[in-house]
Amino acid sequence: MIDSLQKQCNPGVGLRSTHFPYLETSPDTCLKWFEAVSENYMDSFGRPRIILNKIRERYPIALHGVSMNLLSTDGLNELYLQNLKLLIDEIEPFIISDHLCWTGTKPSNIHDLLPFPYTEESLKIVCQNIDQAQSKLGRNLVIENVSTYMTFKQSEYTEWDFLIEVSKRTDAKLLLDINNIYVSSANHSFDPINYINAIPAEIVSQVHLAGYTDMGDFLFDTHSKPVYPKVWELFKLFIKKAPNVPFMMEWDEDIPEFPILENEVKKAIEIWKNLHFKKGHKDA
Amino acid sequence: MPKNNLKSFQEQFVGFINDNTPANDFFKDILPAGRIPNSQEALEVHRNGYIARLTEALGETFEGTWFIMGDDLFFSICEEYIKENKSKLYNLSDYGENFPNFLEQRRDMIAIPFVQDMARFDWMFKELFHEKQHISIPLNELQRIETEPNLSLILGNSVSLFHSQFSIYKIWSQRNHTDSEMNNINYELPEHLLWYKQNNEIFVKNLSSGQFDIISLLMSAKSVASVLEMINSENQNDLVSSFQIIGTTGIVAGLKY
Repeated sequence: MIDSLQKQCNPGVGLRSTHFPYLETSPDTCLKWFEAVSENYMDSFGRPRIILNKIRERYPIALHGVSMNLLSTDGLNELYLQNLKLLIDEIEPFIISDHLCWTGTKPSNIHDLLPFPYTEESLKIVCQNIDQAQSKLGRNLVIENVSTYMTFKQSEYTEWDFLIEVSKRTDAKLLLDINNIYVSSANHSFDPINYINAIPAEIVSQVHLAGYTDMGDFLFDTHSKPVYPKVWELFKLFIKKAPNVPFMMEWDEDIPEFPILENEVKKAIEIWKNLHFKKGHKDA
Repeated sequence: MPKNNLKSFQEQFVGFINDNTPANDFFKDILPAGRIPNSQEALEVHRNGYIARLTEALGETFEGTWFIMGDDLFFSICEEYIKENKSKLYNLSDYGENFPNFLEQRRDMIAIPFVQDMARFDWMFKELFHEKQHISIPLNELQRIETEPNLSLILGNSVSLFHSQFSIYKIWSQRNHTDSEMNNINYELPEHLLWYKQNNEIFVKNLSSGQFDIISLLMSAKSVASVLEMINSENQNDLVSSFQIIGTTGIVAGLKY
Protein backbone atom coordinates (compact mmCIF):
# COMPACT_ATOMS: atom_id res chain seq x y z
CA MET A 1 0.00 0.00 0.00
CA ILE A 2 1.37 3.43 -0.94
CA ASP A 3 1.49 5.79 2.00
CA SER A 4 -0.66 8.88 1.38
CA LEU A 5 2.40 11.14 1.80
CA GLN A 6 4.04 9.44 -1.16
CA LYS A 7 1.04 9.95 -3.38
CA GLN A 8 1.47 12.41 -6.22
CA CYS A 9 -1.29 13.92 -8.30
CA ASN A 10 -0.02 14.08 -11.91
CA PRO A 11 -2.45 15.98 -14.13
CA GLY A 12 -1.73 16.87 -17.77
CA VAL A 13 -3.49 17.90 -20.98
CA GLY A 14 -3.09 17.28 -24.69
CA LEU A 15 -1.15 20.12 -26.32
CA ARG A 16 -3.16 21.59 -29.21
CA SER A 17 -2.13 24.34 -31.63
CA THR A 18 -5.25 26.42 -30.85
CA HIS A 19 -3.77 26.95 -27.38
CA PHE A 20 -0.30 28.00 -28.56
CA PRO A 21 -0.98 31.77 -28.31
CA TYR A 22 -2.28 31.36 -24.74
CA LEU A 23 0.58 29.10 -23.66
CA GLU A 24 3.18 31.41 -25.19
CA THR A 25 2.31 33.92 -22.48
CA SER A 26 3.64 31.31 -20.00
CA PRO A 27 0.64 31.34 -17.69
CA ASP A 28 0.62 29.43 -14.43
CA THR A 29 -1.39 26.25 -14.86
CA CYS A 30 -2.56 23.44 -12.64
CA LEU A 31 -0.71 20.99 -14.90
CA LYS A 32 2.41 18.98 -14.31
CA TRP A 33 2.98 17.91 -17.92
CA PHE A 34 1.71 18.06 -21.50
CA GLU A 35 1.08 15.34 -24.04
CA ALA A 36 2.01 16.17 -27.65
CA VAL A 37 0.83 14.19 -30.68
CA SER A 38 4.14 12.99 -32.16
CA GLU A 39 3.10 13.30 -35.82
CA ASN A 40 2.25 17.00 -35.39
CA TYR A 41 5.90 17.74 -34.59
CA MET A 42 8.02 14.98 -36.18
CA ASP A 43 8.09 16.54 -39.64
CA SER A 44 7.59 20.15 -38.65
CA PHE A 45 10.58 22.36 -38.01
CA GLY A 46 8.57 25.57 -37.94
CA ARG A 47 6.31 27.11 -35.33
CA PRO A 48 4.83 23.87 -33.87
CA ARG A 49 8.29 22.48 -33.09
CA ILE A 50 9.47 25.82 -31.68
CA ILE A 51 6.46 26.04 -29.36
CA LEU A 52 6.90 22.42 -28.27
CA ASN A 53 10.49 23.15 -27.30
CA LYS A 54 9.42 26.28 -25.39
CA ILE A 55 6.83 24.30 -23.45
CA ARG A 56 9.41 21.59 -22.82
CA GLU A 57 11.52 24.19 -21.01
CA ARG A 58 8.78 24.42 -18.36
CA TYR A 59 7.05 21.04 -18.44
CA PRO A 60 7.79 17.35 -19.02
CA ILE A 61 6.33 16.09 -22.30
CA ALA A 62 4.74 12.76 -23.20
CA LEU A 63 4.85 11.94 -26.92
CA HIS A 64 1.69 10.25 -28.13
CA GLY A 65 1.61 8.74 -31.61
CA VAL A 66 -1.30 7.83 -33.85
CA SER A 67 0.51 6.30 -36.84
CA MET A 68 2.98 3.68 -35.64
CA ASN A 69 0.64 1.00 -36.99
CA LEU A 70 1.49 -1.58 -34.35
CA LEU A 71 -0.78 -4.26 -35.83
CA SER A 72 0.77 -3.86 -39.26
CA THR A 73 1.32 -7.13 -41.09
CA ASP A 74 3.83 -5.34 -43.36
CA GLY A 75 6.25 -4.44 -40.57
CA LEU A 76 6.76 -0.95 -39.20
CA ASN A 77 7.62 2.10 -41.30
CA GLU A 78 11.38 2.66 -40.86
CA LEU A 79 11.19 6.34 -41.84
CA TYR A 80 8.50 6.89 -39.24
CA LEU A 81 10.62 5.32 -36.51
CA GLN A 82 13.66 7.27 -37.63
CA ASN A 83 11.85 10.63 -37.50
CA LEU A 84 10.21 9.76 -34.19
CA LYS A 85 13.61 8.88 -32.75
CA LEU A 86 14.96 12.31 -33.75
CA LEU A 87 12.04 13.99 -32.00
CA ILE A 88 12.54 11.80 -28.93
CA ASP A 89 16.23 12.72 -28.75
CA GLU A 90 15.31 16.41 -28.92
CA ILE A 91 12.34 16.48 -26.54
CA GLU A 92 13.34 13.71 -24.12
CA PRO A 93 9.76 12.72 -23.35
CA PHE A 94 8.96 10.86 -20.15
CA ILE A 95 6.48 8.65 -22.05
CA ILE A 96 6.28 7.46 -25.66
CA SER A 97 2.92 5.99 -26.50
CA ASP A 98 0.85 4.74 -29.41
CA HIS A 99 -2.30 2.72 -29.93
CA LEU A 100 -3.21 -0.95 -29.97
CA CYS A 101 -4.48 -0.87 -33.53
CA TRP A 102 -3.47 -0.81 -37.18
CA THR A 103 -3.70 2.23 -39.46
CA GLY A 104 -3.39 0.83 -42.99
CA THR A 105 -1.71 -1.67 -45.29
CA LYS A 106 1.12 -0.81 -47.65
CA PRO A 107 0.90 1.54 -49.47
CA SER A 108 -2.35 2.96 -48.05
CA ASN A 109 -2.72 4.88 -44.84
CA ILE A 110 -6.25 5.12 -43.49
CA HIS A 111 -5.32 7.51 -40.64
CA ASP A 112 -7.63 5.73 -38.25
CA LEU A 113 -7.25 3.54 -35.17
CA LEU A 114 -8.59 0.36 -36.75
CA PRO A 115 -9.92 -2.72 -34.94
CA PHE A 116 -8.73 -6.30 -35.30
CA PRO A 117 -9.57 -9.71 -33.87
CA TYR A 118 -7.89 -10.54 -30.56
CA THR A 119 -6.23 -13.76 -31.71
CA GLU A 120 -2.91 -15.48 -31.09
CA GLU A 121 -1.82 -14.39 -34.58
CA SER A 122 -2.56 -10.73 -33.80
CA LEU A 123 -0.75 -11.06 -30.51
CA LYS A 124 2.39 -12.39 -32.18
CA ILE A 125 2.35 -9.61 -34.78
CA VAL A 126 1.83 -6.78 -32.32
CA CYS A 127 4.51 -8.11 -29.95
CA GLN A 128 6.97 -8.45 -32.84
CA ASN A 129 6.28 -4.86 -33.92
CA ILE A 130 6.51 -3.48 -30.38
CA ASP A 131 9.85 -5.27 -29.94
CA GLN A 132 11.08 -3.73 -33.19
CA ALA A 133 9.94 -0.23 -32.18
CA GLN A 134 11.37 -0.49 -28.68
CA SER A 135 14.69 -1.67 -30.00
CA LYS A 136 14.86 1.09 -32.64
CA LEU A 137 13.76 3.83 -30.23
CA GLY A 138 15.78 2.53 -27.30
CA ARG A 139 12.79 3.07 -25.03
CA ASN A 140 9.81 1.10 -23.80
CA LEU A 141 6.52 1.94 -25.42
CA VAL A 142 3.23 2.62 -23.69
CA ILE A 143 0.23 1.13 -25.48
CA GLU A 144 -3.27 2.61 -25.48
CA ASN A 145 -6.60 0.78 -25.79
CA VAL A 146 -8.85 2.27 -28.51
CA SER A 147 -12.61 2.68 -28.89
CA THR A 148 -14.08 0.15 -31.30
CA TYR A 149 -17.24 -0.03 -33.38
CA MET A 150 -17.08 -3.72 -34.22
CA THR A 151 -15.74 -6.94 -32.75
CA PHE A 152 -14.88 -10.23 -34.47
CA LYS A 153 -16.14 -13.77 -34.11
CA GLN A 154 -12.56 -15.06 -34.23
CA SER A 155 -11.39 -13.24 -31.11
CA GLU A 156 -9.81 -15.61 -28.60
CA TYR A 157 -9.09 -12.99 -25.92
CA THR A 158 -11.03 -10.21 -24.24
CA GLU A 159 -9.51 -6.81 -24.98
CA TRP A 160 -8.12 -6.47 -21.44
CA ASP A 161 -6.56 -9.95 -21.44
CA PHE A 162 -5.03 -9.18 -24.82
CA LEU A 163 -3.52 -5.93 -23.47
CA ILE A 164 -2.18 -7.62 -20.36
CA GLU A 165 -0.60 -10.33 -22.50
CA VAL A 166 0.99 -7.72 -24.79
CA SER A 167 2.51 -6.00 -21.78
CA LYS A 168 3.72 -9.31 -20.34
CA ARG A 169 5.41 -10.39 -23.57
CA THR A 170 7.02 -7.04 -24.50
CA ASP A 171 7.52 -5.14 -21.22
CA ALA A 172 5.52 -2.31 -22.79
CA LYS A 173 3.29 -0.50 -20.29
CA LEU A 174 -0.29 0.54 -20.86
CA LEU A 175 -1.99 3.86 -21.44
CA LEU A 176 -5.46 3.23 -20.14
CA ASP A 177 -8.00 5.39 -21.91
CA ILE A 178 -10.93 5.34 -19.51
CA ASN A 179 -13.27 6.98 -22.03
CA ASN A 180 -12.38 4.33 -24.62
CA ILE A 181 -13.11 1.58 -22.11
CA TYR A 182 -16.52 3.09 -21.45
CA VAL A 183 -17.30 3.64 -25.15
CA SER A 184 -16.31 0.08 -26.09
CA SER A 185 -18.20 -1.38 -23.11
CA ALA A 186 -21.39 0.41 -24.20
CA ASN A 187 -20.82 -0.57 -27.84
CA HIS A 188 -20.10 -4.24 -27.15
CA SER A 189 -22.16 -4.80 -23.98
CA PHE A 190 -19.50 -5.72 -21.46
CA ASP A 191 -19.06 -4.46 -17.92
CA PRO A 192 -16.34 -1.75 -17.88
CA ILE A 193 -15.73 -2.44 -14.18
CA ASN A 194 -14.47 -5.93 -15.06
CA TYR A 195 -12.04 -4.30 -17.48
CA ILE A 196 -10.75 -1.78 -14.89
CA ASN A 197 -10.48 -4.46 -12.20
CA ALA A 198 -8.58 -6.83 -14.47
CA ILE A 199 -5.82 -4.36 -15.36
CA PRO A 200 -2.96 -4.47 -12.82
CA ALA A 201 -2.09 -0.94 -11.67
CA GLU A 202 1.66 -1.58 -11.99
CA ILE A 203 1.50 -2.04 -15.77
CA VAL A 204 -0.26 1.28 -16.38
CA SER A 205 1.94 4.33 -17.03
CA GLN A 206 -0.71 6.82 -18.05
CA VAL A 207 -4.46 7.46 -18.13
CA HIS A 208 -6.52 9.34 -20.71
CA LEU A 209 -9.83 11.09 -20.12
CA ALA A 210 -12.10 12.52 -22.82
CA GLY A 211 -15.70 12.95 -23.91
CA TYR A 212 -17.55 10.86 -26.47
CA THR A 213 -20.54 11.55 -28.72
CA ASP A 214 -23.72 9.52 -28.59
CA MET A 215 -24.55 8.74 -32.23
CA GLY A 216 -27.86 7.04 -31.39
CA ASP A 217 -26.86 3.57 -32.57
CA PHE A 218 -23.46 3.62 -30.87
CA LEU A 219 -21.04 5.76 -28.88
CA PHE A 220 -18.30 7.48 -30.88
CA ASP A 221 -14.94 8.52 -29.49
CA THR A 222 -14.82 12.16 -30.61
CA HIS A 223 -12.88 13.94 -27.83
CA SER A 224 -15.32 16.77 -28.35
CA LYS A 225 -17.09 17.04 -25.01
CA PRO A 226 -16.52 17.15 -21.26
CA VAL A 227 -15.98 13.84 -19.49
CA TYR A 228 -19.25 11.99 -18.80
CA PRO A 229 -20.23 11.02 -15.21
CA LYS A 230 -19.88 7.28 -15.87
CA VAL A 231 -16.35 7.83 -17.16
CA TRP A 232 -15.51 9.82 -14.02
CA GLU A 233 -16.74 6.86 -11.97
CA LEU A 234 -14.40 4.50 -13.81
CA PHE A 235 -11.55 6.98 -13.43
CA LYS A 236 -12.17 7.07 -9.70
CA LEU A 237 -12.11 3.29 -9.58
CA PHE A 238 -8.80 3.08 -11.36
CA ILE A 239 -6.87 5.90 -9.65
CA LYS A 240 -7.91 4.44 -6.32
CA LYS A 241 -5.52 1.59 -7.06
CA ALA A 242 -3.01 3.67 -9.06
CA PRO A 243 -2.70 7.03 -7.24
CA ASN A 244 0.51 8.17 -8.89
CA VAL A 245 -0.43 7.44 -12.46
CA PRO A 246 -0.21 10.54 -14.71
CA PHE A 247 -3.66 11.35 -16.09
CA MET A 248 -4.65 13.80 -18.78
CA MET A 249 -7.52 15.35 -20.66
CA GLU A 250 -7.82 14.96 -24.44
CA TRP A 251 -9.92 17.42 -26.43
CA ASP A 252 -9.65 17.36 -30.23
CA GLU A 253 -12.89 18.70 -31.70
CA ASP A 254 -14.75 21.88 -30.72
CA ILE A 255 -11.72 22.63 -28.57
CA PRO A 256 -12.59 25.10 -25.79
CA GLU A 257 -10.45 27.97 -24.49
CA PHE A 258 -7.52 26.73 -22.44
CA PRO A 259 -8.95 27.81 -19.03
CA ILE A 260 -12.11 25.77 -19.75
CA LEU A 261 -9.99 22.74 -20.58
CA GLU A 262 -8.01 23.36 -17.42
CA ASN A 263 -11.24 23.45 -15.40
CA GLU A 264 -12.02 19.97 -16.69
CA VAL A 265 -8.61 18.83 -15.44
CA LYS A 266 -9.37 20.46 -12.09
CA LYS A 267 -12.40 18.16 -11.77
CA ALA A 268 -10.03 15.21 -12.09
CA ILE A 269 -7.69 16.75 -9.52
CA GLU A 270 -10.63 17.18 -7.15
CA ILE A 271 -11.60 13.53 -7.56
CA TRP A 272 -7.99 12.54 -6.93
CA LYS A 273 -7.79 14.71 -3.80
CA ASN A 274 -11.03 13.36 -2.41
CA LEU A 275 -9.66 9.86 -2.77
CA HIS A 276 -6.07 10.32 -1.67
CA PHE A 277 -5.61 13.55 0.20
CA LYS A 278 -6.65 13.39 3.81
CA LYS A 279 -6.77 16.26 6.32
CA GLY A 280 -3.47 16.87 8.08
CA HIS A 281 -1.29 15.83 5.17
CA LYS A 282 0.84 18.14 3.13
CA ASP A 283 -0.61 19.38 -0.11
CA ALA A 284 0.03 16.94 -2.92
CA MET B 1 -11.89 -15.06 -41.39
CA PRO B 2 -9.63 -18.10 -41.35
CA LYS B 3 -6.93 -18.24 -38.69
CA ASN B 4 -3.46 -16.90 -39.60
CA ASN B 5 -4.98 -14.41 -41.93
CA LEU B 6 -4.70 -11.00 -40.37
CA LYS B 7 -3.08 -9.68 -43.53
CA SER B 8 -5.98 -10.78 -45.71
CA PHE B 9 -8.43 -9.27 -43.19
CA GLN B 10 -6.60 -5.95 -43.30
CA GLU B 11 -6.45 -5.91 -47.09
CA GLN B 12 -10.19 -6.52 -47.35
CA PHE B 13 -10.87 -3.84 -44.75
CA VAL B 14 -8.74 -1.29 -46.64
CA GLY B 15 -10.32 -2.41 -49.92
CA PHE B 16 -13.73 -1.59 -48.51
CA ILE B 17 -12.64 1.85 -47.29
CA ASN B 18 -10.73 2.83 -50.42
CA ASP B 19 -12.73 1.20 -53.18
CA ASN B 20 -15.95 -0.02 -51.60
CA THR B 21 -14.92 -3.53 -52.64
CA PRO B 22 -17.70 -5.88 -51.54
CA ALA B 23 -16.41 -8.77 -49.45
CA ASN B 24 -19.33 -10.90 -48.32
CA ASP B 25 -17.24 -13.54 -46.53
CA PHE B 26 -15.48 -10.78 -44.68
CA PHE B 27 -18.74 -9.18 -43.47
CA LYS B 28 -20.00 -12.34 -41.77
CA ASP B 29 -17.19 -12.34 -39.21
CA ILE B 30 -17.90 -8.80 -38.02
CA LEU B 31 -20.09 -8.13 -35.00
CA PRO B 32 -21.30 -4.52 -35.25
CA ALA B 33 -21.32 -2.29 -32.18
CA GLY B 34 -24.44 -1.20 -30.30
CA ARG B 35 -27.48 -0.92 -32.53
CA ILE B 36 -25.52 -0.58 -35.78
CA PRO B 37 -27.73 -2.73 -38.05
CA ASN B 38 -25.08 -4.70 -39.94
CA SER B 39 -21.39 -5.22 -40.68
CA GLN B 40 -21.39 -2.95 -43.70
CA GLU B 41 -22.74 -0.07 -41.62
CA ALA B 42 -20.07 -0.71 -38.99
CA LEU B 43 -17.39 -0.48 -41.69
CA GLU B 44 -19.03 2.72 -42.95
CA VAL B 45 -18.11 4.33 -39.61
CA HIS B 46 -14.47 3.96 -40.63
CA ARG B 47 -15.00 4.90 -44.26
CA ASN B 48 -16.83 8.08 -43.31
CA GLY B 49 -14.09 8.82 -40.82
CA TYR B 50 -11.46 8.39 -43.53
CA ILE B 51 -13.17 10.89 -45.85
CA ALA B 52 -13.75 13.30 -42.96
CA ARG B 53 -10.13 13.21 -41.77
CA LEU B 54 -8.65 13.72 -45.23
CA THR B 55 -11.15 16.49 -45.99
CA GLU B 56 -10.16 18.16 -42.74
CA ALA B 57 -6.48 17.84 -43.68
CA LEU B 58 -7.13 19.36 -47.12
CA GLY B 59 -9.17 22.14 -45.49
CA GLU B 60 -6.33 22.98 -43.13
CA THR B 61 -3.76 23.12 -45.92
CA PHE B 62 -5.91 24.69 -48.64
CA GLU B 63 -7.55 27.37 -46.53
CA GLY B 64 -7.51 30.01 -49.28
CA THR B 65 -8.81 27.55 -51.88
CA TRP B 66 -11.65 26.57 -49.55
CA PHE B 67 -12.47 30.25 -49.03
CA ILE B 68 -12.82 31.03 -52.73
CA MET B 69 -14.65 27.79 -53.58
CA GLY B 70 -17.14 27.90 -50.69
CA ASP B 71 -18.08 24.93 -48.49
CA ASP B 72 -20.26 22.89 -50.87
CA LEU B 73 -17.94 22.97 -53.87
CA PHE B 74 -14.80 22.50 -51.78
CA PHE B 75 -16.19 19.49 -49.89
CA SER B 76 -17.49 17.76 -53.02
CA ILE B 77 -14.18 18.31 -54.85
CA CYS B 78 -12.30 17.01 -51.81
CA GLU B 79 -14.39 13.85 -51.80
CA GLU B 80 -13.62 13.20 -55.46
CA TYR B 81 -9.94 13.95 -54.90
CA ILE B 82 -9.78 11.59 -51.91
CA LYS B 83 -11.39 8.79 -53.91
CA GLU B 84 -8.81 9.19 -56.67
CA ASN B 85 -5.80 9.88 -54.44
CA LYS B 86 -5.29 7.42 -51.62
CA SER B 87 -3.25 8.62 -48.70
CA LYS B 88 0.10 6.87 -48.55
CA LEU B 89 2.00 8.96 -46.01
CA TYR B 90 1.83 8.76 -42.24
CA ASN B 91 1.73 12.53 -41.91
CA LEU B 92 -1.75 13.85 -42.70
CA SER B 93 -0.48 17.37 -43.34
CA ASP B 94 1.55 16.04 -46.30
CA TYR B 95 -1.66 14.93 -48.04
CA GLY B 96 -2.75 16.95 -51.07
CA GLU B 97 0.48 17.71 -52.90
CA ASN B 98 -1.16 17.25 -56.30
CA PHE B 99 -4.45 18.92 -55.32
CA PRO B 100 -3.52 22.06 -57.37
CA ASN B 101 -3.02 19.90 -60.49
CA PHE B 102 -6.26 18.06 -59.79
CA LEU B 103 -8.08 21.40 -59.76
CA GLU B 104 -6.41 22.45 -63.00
CA GLN B 105 -7.74 19.39 -64.77
CA ARG B 106 -11.31 20.07 -63.66
CA ARG B 107 -13.39 21.76 -66.32
CA ASP B 108 -15.90 23.00 -63.75
CA MET B 109 -13.14 25.17 -62.27
CA ILE B 110 -13.10 27.47 -65.30
CA ALA B 111 -15.43 29.82 -63.44
CA ILE B 112 -12.66 30.43 -60.88
CA PRO B 113 -9.63 30.99 -63.12
CA PHE B 114 -7.22 31.53 -60.23
CA VAL B 115 -8.23 28.47 -58.18
CA GLN B 116 -5.16 26.44 -59.14
CA ASP B 117 -2.82 29.33 -58.31
CA MET B 118 -4.52 29.73 -54.96
CA ALA B 119 -4.03 26.01 -54.25
CA ARG B 120 -0.34 26.30 -55.19
CA PHE B 121 -0.09 29.29 -52.87
CA ASP B 122 -1.74 27.39 -50.00
CA TRP B 123 0.62 24.44 -50.45
CA MET B 124 3.66 26.71 -50.59
CA PHE B 125 2.57 28.44 -47.40
CA LYS B 126 2.14 25.09 -45.64
CA GLU B 127 5.60 23.97 -46.73
CA LEU B 128 7.21 27.20 -45.56
CA PHE B 129 5.29 27.09 -42.27
CA HIS B 130 6.85 23.75 -41.36
CA GLU B 131 10.30 24.62 -42.73
CA LYS B 132 13.12 25.36 -40.32
CA GLN B 133 14.38 28.93 -40.59
CA HIS B 134 17.84 29.00 -42.12
CA ILE B 135 20.68 30.98 -40.62
CA SER B 136 21.32 34.09 -42.74
CA ILE B 137 24.86 35.12 -43.50
CA PRO B 138 25.90 38.43 -41.94
CA LEU B 139 25.68 41.53 -44.11
CA ASN B 140 29.45 42.09 -44.15
CA GLU B 141 29.91 38.55 -45.47
CA LEU B 142 27.30 39.20 -48.16
CA GLN B 143 29.23 42.31 -49.23
CA ARG B 144 32.02 40.04 -50.54
CA ILE B 145 30.04 39.80 -53.79
CA GLU B 146 31.06 43.40 -54.56
CA THR B 147 34.70 42.37 -54.83
CA GLU B 148 34.17 38.72 -55.77
CA PRO B 149 31.38 38.70 -58.40
CA ASN B 150 32.13 35.12 -59.40
CA LEU B 151 30.49 34.03 -56.18
CA SER B 152 26.95 32.72 -56.34
CA LEU B 153 24.35 32.99 -53.59
CA ILE B 154 23.02 30.03 -51.65
CA LEU B 155 19.47 30.95 -50.84
CA GLY B 156 18.11 29.67 -47.52
CA ASN B 157 15.66 26.77 -47.31
CA SER B 158 12.95 29.01 -45.84
CA VAL B 159 12.69 31.16 -48.98
CA SER B 160 10.20 30.82 -51.86
CA LEU B 161 9.18 32.80 -54.89
CA PHE B 162 5.62 32.87 -56.17
CA HIS B 163 4.21 34.33 -59.34
CA SER B 164 0.63 34.50 -60.60
CA GLN B 165 -1.34 36.46 -63.18
CA PHE B 166 -3.86 37.06 -60.40
CA SER B 167 -3.83 38.84 -57.02
CA ILE B 168 -3.64 35.61 -55.07
CA TYR B 169 -2.01 36.98 -51.93
CA LYS B 170 -4.55 39.80 -51.71
CA ILE B 171 -7.42 37.35 -51.92
CA TRP B 172 -5.75 34.89 -49.54
CA SER B 173 -5.27 37.66 -46.98
CA GLN B 174 -9.04 38.15 -46.98
CA ARG B 175 -9.82 34.49 -46.31
CA ASN B 176 -11.14 35.19 -42.81
CA HIS B 177 -13.14 38.22 -43.87
CA THR B 178 -16.55 38.79 -45.43
CA ASP B 179 -17.55 38.40 -49.06
CA SER B 180 -18.16 42.14 -49.39
CA GLU B 181 -14.49 42.89 -48.63
CA MET B 182 -13.57 40.28 -51.22
CA ASN B 183 -15.65 42.09 -53.83
CA ASN B 184 -13.41 45.18 -53.51
CA ILE B 185 -10.35 43.27 -54.69
CA ASN B 186 -9.22 43.65 -58.25
CA TYR B 187 -8.03 40.09 -58.64
CA GLU B 188 -6.66 40.54 -62.15
CA LEU B 189 -3.43 42.26 -61.09
CA PRO B 190 -0.35 40.03 -61.50
CA GLU B 191 1.68 39.28 -58.39
CA HIS B 192 5.36 38.54 -57.89
CA LEU B 193 6.10 37.52 -54.32
CA LEU B 194 9.08 36.70 -52.18
CA TRP B 195 8.36 34.59 -49.11
CA TYR B 196 10.84 34.24 -46.33
CA LYS B 197 11.14 33.63 -42.62
CA GLN B 198 12.59 36.07 -40.12
CA ASN B 199 12.44 35.55 -36.34
CA ASN B 200 10.49 32.37 -37.13
CA GLU B 201 7.66 34.38 -38.70
CA ILE B 202 6.63 34.18 -42.35
CA PHE B 203 6.89 37.40 -44.36
CA VAL B 204 5.64 38.11 -47.87
CA LYS B 205 7.20 40.88 -49.97
CA ASN B 206 5.70 42.18 -53.19
CA LEU B 207 8.33 42.39 -55.95
CA SER B 208 8.32 44.08 -59.33
CA SER B 209 8.56 41.64 -62.23
CA GLY B 210 12.17 42.81 -62.79
CA GLN B 211 13.11 42.13 -59.16
CA PHE B 212 11.39 38.77 -59.36
CA ASP B 213 13.42 37.79 -62.43
CA ILE B 214 16.71 38.89 -60.89
CA ILE B 215 16.12 37.06 -57.61
CA SER B 216 14.94 33.97 -59.56
CA LEU B 217 18.21 33.99 -61.52
CA LEU B 218 20.23 34.39 -58.34
CA MET B 219 18.27 31.53 -56.77
CA SER B 220 19.20 29.27 -59.69
CA ALA B 221 22.82 29.17 -58.49
CA LYS B 222 24.20 31.41 -61.28
CA SER B 223 27.14 33.57 -60.26
CA VAL B 224 26.46 37.21 -59.47
CA ALA B 225 28.65 38.21 -62.45
CA SER B 226 26.65 36.11 -64.91
CA VAL B 227 23.37 37.48 -63.59
CA LEU B 228 24.68 41.03 -63.99
CA GLU B 229 25.55 40.26 -67.61
CA MET B 230 22.02 39.05 -68.26
CA ILE B 231 20.39 42.20 -66.93
CA ASN B 232 20.03 44.97 -69.46
CA SER B 233 20.64 48.61 -68.62
CA GLU B 234 16.90 49.38 -68.36
CA ASN B 235 16.71 47.14 -65.32
CA GLN B 236 19.45 48.85 -63.32
CA ASN B 237 16.95 50.19 -60.77
CA ASP B 238 15.55 46.71 -60.24
CA LEU B 239 19.07 45.38 -59.86
CA VAL B 240 19.96 47.83 -57.10
CA SER B 241 16.68 47.29 -55.27
CA SER B 242 16.95 43.49 -55.62
CA PHE B 243 20.28 43.50 -53.81
CA GLN B 244 18.81 45.80 -51.17
CA ILE B 245 15.98 43.30 -50.67
CA ILE B 246 18.44 40.42 -50.49
CA GLY B 247 20.37 42.30 -47.82
CA THR B 248 17.42 43.25 -45.65
CA THR B 249 15.42 40.03 -45.82
CA GLY B 250 18.27 37.72 -44.85
CA ILE B 251 17.36 35.21 -47.55
CA VAL B 252 20.98 34.27 -48.27
CA ALA B 253 22.36 31.37 -46.26
CA GLY B 254 25.81 31.20 -47.85
CA LEU B 255 28.11 32.00 -50.76
CA LYS B 256 29.92 29.61 -53.06
CA TYR B 257 32.29 29.67 -56.04
